[in-house]
Amino acid sequence: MSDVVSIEEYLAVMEVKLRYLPKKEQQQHLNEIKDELLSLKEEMVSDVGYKVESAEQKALESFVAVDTLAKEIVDQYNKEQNDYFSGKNIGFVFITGSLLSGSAVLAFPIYYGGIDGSLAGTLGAHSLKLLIALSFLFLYFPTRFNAERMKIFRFARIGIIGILVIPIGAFFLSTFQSDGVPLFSFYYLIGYLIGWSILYYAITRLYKRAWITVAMNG
Amino acid sequence: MNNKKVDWNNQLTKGMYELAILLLVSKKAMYGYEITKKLQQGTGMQLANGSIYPILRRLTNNGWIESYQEEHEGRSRKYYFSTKEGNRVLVERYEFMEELFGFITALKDGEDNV
Repeated sequence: MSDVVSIEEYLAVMEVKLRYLPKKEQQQHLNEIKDELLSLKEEMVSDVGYKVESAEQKALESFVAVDTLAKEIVDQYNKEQNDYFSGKNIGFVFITGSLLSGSAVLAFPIYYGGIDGSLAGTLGAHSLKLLIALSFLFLYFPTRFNAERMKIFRFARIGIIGILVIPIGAFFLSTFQSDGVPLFSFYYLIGYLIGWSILYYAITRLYKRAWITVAMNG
Repeated sequence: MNNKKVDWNNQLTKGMYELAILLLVSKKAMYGYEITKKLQQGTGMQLANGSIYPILRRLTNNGWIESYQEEHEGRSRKYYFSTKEGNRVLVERYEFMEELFGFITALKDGEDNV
């Protein structure tokens, strides 16, 4: 039984309650619920014999309450999010996290315009972490992808693109602060972008292959 | 029906929804409302209209079913069908259910070798 008086109102309330879900997912839920409510309404007219005006209310009365359904959908979504980033996928989360953080830290010399002793230590540690992460990603995981890891991988792939903001932003900051184009930063940026392009190409290829693996296994 | 009986029935049918849905969509692609109507025809399945979506989502995320969209009378309709993994799970669960039912039946009939 529902307190809402029309299908439009039910969907409007549902839209608000599902606002924390990704937009596409929220819309898919709304489309499905709308389809079922309209089907129910049509059935109330054709099979039960209600008038169109009362059929909508009857359809809503026979439908699960908006609060209950929204809570179930949101709870399920939250549970899935927790599952993706915990338990059996924690290793994969760590690998992709290391990939992103390593790529980000390697852009720091662009801002500093050089590499001193302490920065060299940090870069060395993160380069090693990045290398280990890449080894696992390309040597261990290719045959071990599943739907959950693919979601994490998708986020990581988007993250790799987002990371470009750091070297480019650092270059502009460095240029702005030194009243000219600092040569070290410029050449390092070029090198970084070449490295990034190779990494992105390799990751995209792996991502596409991984989808085939998941499709074949599922 | 008394409360204890309702609780027991609910507990039992809850676990059966996934199996029933997998059975339905393994035969042909179906949309949410169509699945709900089919389930409601079964005497034990007290599924309220609209309650099926969290279950369908769970099955999708497990990789047991997949979906595609189609336009129907100006609105978007999502059809579900089972995957290879879904069919495997279906067989596995159905066999387990048969085994369980066989065991209960044997207990009822008083066989000694169960």
